[in-house]
Amino acid sequence: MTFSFLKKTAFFVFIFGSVTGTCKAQFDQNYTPLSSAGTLPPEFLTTARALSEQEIAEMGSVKDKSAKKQFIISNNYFLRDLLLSGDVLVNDPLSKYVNRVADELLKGQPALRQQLHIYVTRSPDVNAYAFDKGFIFVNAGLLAQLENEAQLAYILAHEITHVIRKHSVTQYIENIKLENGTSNYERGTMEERALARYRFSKEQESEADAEGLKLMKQSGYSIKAMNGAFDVLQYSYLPFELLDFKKSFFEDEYLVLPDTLFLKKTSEVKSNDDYDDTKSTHPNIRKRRGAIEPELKVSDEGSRKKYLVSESEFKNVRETARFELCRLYLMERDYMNAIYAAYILSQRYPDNLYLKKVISKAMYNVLVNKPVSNSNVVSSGSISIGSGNSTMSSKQYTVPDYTTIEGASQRVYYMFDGMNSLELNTVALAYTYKAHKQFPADSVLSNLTDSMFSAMVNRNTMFLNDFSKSTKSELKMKDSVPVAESTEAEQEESKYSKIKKQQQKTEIETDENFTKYALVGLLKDEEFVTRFTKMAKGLTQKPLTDEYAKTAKPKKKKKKKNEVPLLGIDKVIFLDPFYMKVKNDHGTLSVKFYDSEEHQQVLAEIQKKCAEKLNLEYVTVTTKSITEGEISKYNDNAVLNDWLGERFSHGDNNLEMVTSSEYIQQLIKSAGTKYIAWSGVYNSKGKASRNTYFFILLDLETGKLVKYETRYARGRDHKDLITSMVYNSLMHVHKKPKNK
Amino acid sequence: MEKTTTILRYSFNRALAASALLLAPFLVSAQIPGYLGKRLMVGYSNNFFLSTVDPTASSYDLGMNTTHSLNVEYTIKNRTNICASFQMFRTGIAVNTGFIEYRTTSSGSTTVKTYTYYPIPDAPMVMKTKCLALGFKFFKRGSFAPLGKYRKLEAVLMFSNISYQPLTFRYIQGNKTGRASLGSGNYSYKEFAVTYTLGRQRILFDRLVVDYGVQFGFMPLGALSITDYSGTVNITNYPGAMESVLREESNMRLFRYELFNIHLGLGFLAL
Repeated sequence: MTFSFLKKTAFFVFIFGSVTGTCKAQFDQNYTPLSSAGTLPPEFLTTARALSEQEIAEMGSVKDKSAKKQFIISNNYFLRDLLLSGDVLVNDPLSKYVNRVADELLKGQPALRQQLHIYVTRSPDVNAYAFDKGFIFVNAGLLAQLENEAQLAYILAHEITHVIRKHSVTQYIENIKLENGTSNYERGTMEERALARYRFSKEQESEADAEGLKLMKQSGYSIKAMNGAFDVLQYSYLPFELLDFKKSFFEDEYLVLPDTLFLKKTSEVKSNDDYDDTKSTHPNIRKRRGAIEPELKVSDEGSRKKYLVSESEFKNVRETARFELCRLYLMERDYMNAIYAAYILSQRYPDNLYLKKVISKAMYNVLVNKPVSNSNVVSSGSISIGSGNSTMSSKQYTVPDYTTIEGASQRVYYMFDGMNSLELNTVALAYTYKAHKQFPADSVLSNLTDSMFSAMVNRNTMFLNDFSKSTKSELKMKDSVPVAESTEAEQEESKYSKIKKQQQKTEIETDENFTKYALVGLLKDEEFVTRFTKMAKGLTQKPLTDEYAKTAKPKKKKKKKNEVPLLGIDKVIFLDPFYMKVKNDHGTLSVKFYDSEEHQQVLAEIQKKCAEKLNLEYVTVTTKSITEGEISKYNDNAVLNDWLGERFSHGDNNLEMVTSSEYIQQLIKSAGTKYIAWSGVYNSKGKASRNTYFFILLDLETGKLVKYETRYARGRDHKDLITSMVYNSLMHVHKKPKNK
Repeated sequence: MEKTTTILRYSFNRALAASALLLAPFLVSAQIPGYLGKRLMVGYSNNFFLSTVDPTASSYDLGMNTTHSLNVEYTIKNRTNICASFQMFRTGIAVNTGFIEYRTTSSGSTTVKTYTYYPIPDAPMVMKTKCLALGFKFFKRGSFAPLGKYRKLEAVLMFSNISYQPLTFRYIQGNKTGRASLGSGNYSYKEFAVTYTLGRQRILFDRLVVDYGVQFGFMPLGALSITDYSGTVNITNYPGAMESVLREESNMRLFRYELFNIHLGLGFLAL
C-alpha cells in the first residue's frame, strides 16, 4: 500500500514535472505558428447558398419569415466567409482544448453539445462571439489573457446562451422593426431608436451573463473564478502581463542607451469599470459584475474546480496563444505590442528564435517608417506606376503617442518614438546581428541583418568609418597621451587636426551620441565588418552633397508614354477572387448574397480562361471547392490571406517588410512562382449599374506591389465586360516587354 | 475618257480603304488586349428605318427602308476601332415635280409641255446606293474595344443610281395629253457624307458580336447645293434640271434613311 502510494506520488510528480517541463521545453528553442490539421468538418464544405436554402426550407411558416430569411442568407454568407478565411483553426491544440472545456461544461447536455461547433480564431482581439447556428469562435487574444480554465468555461457558457436564445436573429429582427418604426420596444427619433438598439443588445448580454451562470452551476467549474473573467474583459486593452520594461534588454557592454530614451515613471492603469455604457452593446463591467455577485456570494464552491480538463494544458494553451499573439500583432502592424509581448516571453524563454525574430522584424518595420533627417536617402523599392495603373494609398506607420498608453508597456512606446532613424537602426542592427550569431542557420535573421546594413548605408548614410572602433575611455586615453608627452609635436600640429581633435573630444563628452560607440564590440567581428563593407560597396547612388546639388542641372522630365508596363511573368498564383453585388435602393445598400457567391465562382472561371488564352501558367489557391481531406490547401489559403492582409495594411509602402513572408516560402516553392494575383469586382445597382474592378499583383518574396489596377465601368456586369478587364490585366502580367 | 476617270476614282477609293486596313496593324501597340486577344471583327448589320412619307423600292405604301452592311473592324487602341464597311441601300423615289418644256415652232408660236412621271403600274423610281465607309469607333471609358458603348465617326462615299422608266412620262400640252420619253432612264452620281453613330456592342459566347445603335449623318456638299424644285422645272433652258431634281430627291432619301437609321448587327471575332 505504502509502496503503491509512493509509486503513485512519484508517478504524478514525474508526470507533472514532465508536462510543465515539456511546456517550457516546447517554447525554449522556437515556436511554430498554429495551423489546422486533420480533416475539414462538413460545415466548411457547403456553399452559403446551400446552407441557407436548407435552413429556409426547414424554417416552415414562422413569424417574421421574410426578415428571418434575410438574416439566414446574410448570416450564412458571413459565416462561410469566416470559415474559409483561414483565421479559423481546425483540429489544432487550442481548438481541441477549448472543445474539451465545452465538453466538461455541457456534460449533462449532450444534445446541446452536439449542436455546437467551437473554434479558435487567429485574432489578437480579446473577444469571443457566436452565430445562432451554433458556431462559437474564441479569439487567440482572449485565450492569451485568461487566468484559468473556469474563466474560459464561463465565457463559453455566455456564448452558448446567445446560441440557445437565438440572440442574433432576435436582434436583427428588432433592428428592422426599429428602422421601420414597428417595434414594440421603442418608437421615436433616430437617436432614440439607436439608443433603443443599444439597450436591446445590453439586455441580451445581461441575459447571456445570467444564463451562462446557470450553465456554470450545472457544471463542476468554480463559480468564484468567474469574477476574474470580468477582470479579463475590463483590462483587455492591456498586454497579457505587466512586466517592467528594462532598457538593458537591448544593451551590451558598448551599446548603452541614454536615459533620455527611457521613461522614468510609467502611467498607472486607470481603467474604470463604471464607464458610461449608454452607447455600448454591452453593459459596463460593474453592472455585469454586480448582476452575478449575489450568486457568487451564496454559491457553494464545494468540490468545484478551476480546472476540470487540465491546468498544465490550460497553461500550455495560454502560452501558445501568447506566442501566436506576437505574430498576430506584427501582422496587424501593432509593432509596439509585438515587441512588448515578445519581451515578456523572452524573460521566460531567452533563447527562443521566434521571439528574437518578432522583435527584429518589428524594429525593422518601425525603422523603415522613421523619417530620415538628412537628404541622402536612396528611395529604393518604390514602384513605378504607369498610366492605367492606380496607386494604393501610402500608409506610413508612426509609433502611437505614449501618453495614451497605460502601464509598463508605455516605456516601449516612449523609447521607440524617441529614437531617431540612426539610433533605431543601430539598436536594431546590434540586436539582430547578435541573434543571427546565435542562430546562424536562420535565413530570416541573416536577411534582416543585411536589410539593416542596407538601411544604415542607404537611409542613414553611415559607413564603417562613421562608427568608432574604440570605446569612449580608450579614445580618452589616446587623446590624453600626445598632449602630455609631446609639446613639440603639438606646436607643429596643423589648425585642422586641432579642430578635428576638439570635435572628437566634444563627441566623447556627449552622452546622447551613443550610436558612434554602440558597435565597438561588433566591429571586432570579422563577419560583421565584411558584410557591412559589402553593403557599402553596393551603394549605387552617389550621396547628394551640397556641391553636387549645386552643380547638377535639373533634369527635364520626360513625358511618360501612356502605357502600362508589360511584366513578362510566366506563372502566377490565383487567390479566390472577390465579388460583391449590391443593390443600392436610394442610398440604402443591401448585399445580394446568392449572386455574389455565384459571381465569385464565375470570376474565378474567367480568370482561368483568360490565363489559358494567354498561355499564362497558374496555380489556384482556393477554398471554394475544397474537400475534407485538403487541409494543406486550407492552410495555404490561410497563410496567403495572412500575408495579403498584412501587405494591404502597408498600402503602397514597399519598404516595410511583410513579417509573415517566412511562412510562405514553402508555398512559393511548391507553386513554382512568387507572384500572387488577386482580383475582384464590386457591382452596385441603383438607378444605373456601376462596376469597380481591381487587380493586384504582388511579389510574395519581397512584398513589392508589382501591379495595381482599378477600373470603373458603368453598365451591367456582363460576363464579357469582366472578361475583357481580366484579360487586359493578365495580358500585361504575361506579355514580355519588347526591349527585354 | 469619263469612263477612265471613273475607273481611276474607284481604284483610288479602293486603294485608300485597303491601305487603311493594311496600315492598321502597324498602328496597333502591344498593349491592346482586344477581346481575349482577338482584334479583328467581321460582321453584317442591317440599318433600317420606317418609311412613312416616302415610298420603298417596291411601293408607295408604308414600309421599311433597309441598308445591308458588311463591316470589318480592327482594334487599334484600347478603346478605338478602325472600321470599314460596304453598304447597299435600295429605296423608291416619288418624283412629284413637273417638267416644263417650251418649244418654239417654225411658225414662231411656243408650245408648252408639262411632263410628270406616271409609270404603269404605278411604282416609284428605284434608287440603289452603294456606300464605302471608313471611320473610327471610340468606346466609352471603362470598357475595352470591341465591347461596350461607343461613338462612331465615319466618312461615307456613296455611289447612287436612280433608274426609272423613261417612256412613262405623261405630258399635258394645252388640252392634249399623252405619253413621252424623258431622260435616259438611268442617273448615277456620287455623294460624300459624314455619319455619327451611337451604339453598343456585346460579345456572346466569347466570339459573337452583337451591335446595335442609332446613326445620324449629313452630306456637306449636298447641303450646300439645296435647290427648291417644288412645282415645275423648266427643262428647256436647263438641260440638266431633271438630273438635278433626281439628285435632290435622292439626296433627301439618303438623308432620311441611309444617314438616319437604327441598326442591328451580328458579327464574329475573327482574329
